[in-house]
Amino acid sequence: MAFLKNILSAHSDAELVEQYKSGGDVNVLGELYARYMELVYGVCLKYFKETEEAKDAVINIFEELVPKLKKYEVSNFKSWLYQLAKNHCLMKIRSRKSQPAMVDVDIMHLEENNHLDNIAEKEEQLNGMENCIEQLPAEQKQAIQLFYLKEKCYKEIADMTEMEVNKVRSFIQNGRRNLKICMEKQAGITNERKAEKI
Amino acid sequence: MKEKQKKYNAIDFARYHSGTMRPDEMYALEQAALEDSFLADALDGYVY
Repeated sequence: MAFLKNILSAHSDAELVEQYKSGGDVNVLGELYARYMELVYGVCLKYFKETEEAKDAVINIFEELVPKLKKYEVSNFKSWLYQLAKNHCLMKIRSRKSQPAMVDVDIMHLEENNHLDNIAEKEEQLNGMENCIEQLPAEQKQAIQLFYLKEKCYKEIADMTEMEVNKVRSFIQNGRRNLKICMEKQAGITNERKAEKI
Repeated sequence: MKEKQKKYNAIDFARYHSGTMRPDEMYALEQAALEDSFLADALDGYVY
């Protein structure tokens, strides 16, 4: 009942990382990896566009983890693994194209860039957001409004607007990026004003 | 603090792409993917 053990394990990623680093038990690493294996597989599929190579990559990435996790300081296992998986696939594709393989420039200082992703807090700052939405290009504005205000999924938005789903998605992604920039600017202005008062 | 994100798995990704997922579920997954590029890339991959 190995799967039950996984489900019942209350250990956080960080605890398992610590446990693995100190004891070197590959089963511990396996438990940790299992949490993300389906994501890793999906990422590999995205790169290779076919299942066999992606499956191999999932195994190879685990093997790569065994020594690397011992060696590197990892504060956020999930984002570190994500980078490792992407690099693994990229290297593989490069070597396949028989391009000169890049020297293994320490590709591992790639932790922590997902604070960029996390605009959730920003999304709470609804003040100013509407103003920023108004400033978006029309198609981004429409997609953003349908997604965030009407809570429509991409497919529904695509049907409503007669756009392709991929278009919808890119309008939402770009709209988010622009919103973030606009709101940061606004926050900057507010801070300046506060500073002036002091 | 936000509640811990639902853990999505291969079945969810397959359902998403096959169009058998409910719109509100799709919406939730899309929102999660916008916050998590690991999840977003994985979801993209399951189209193959």
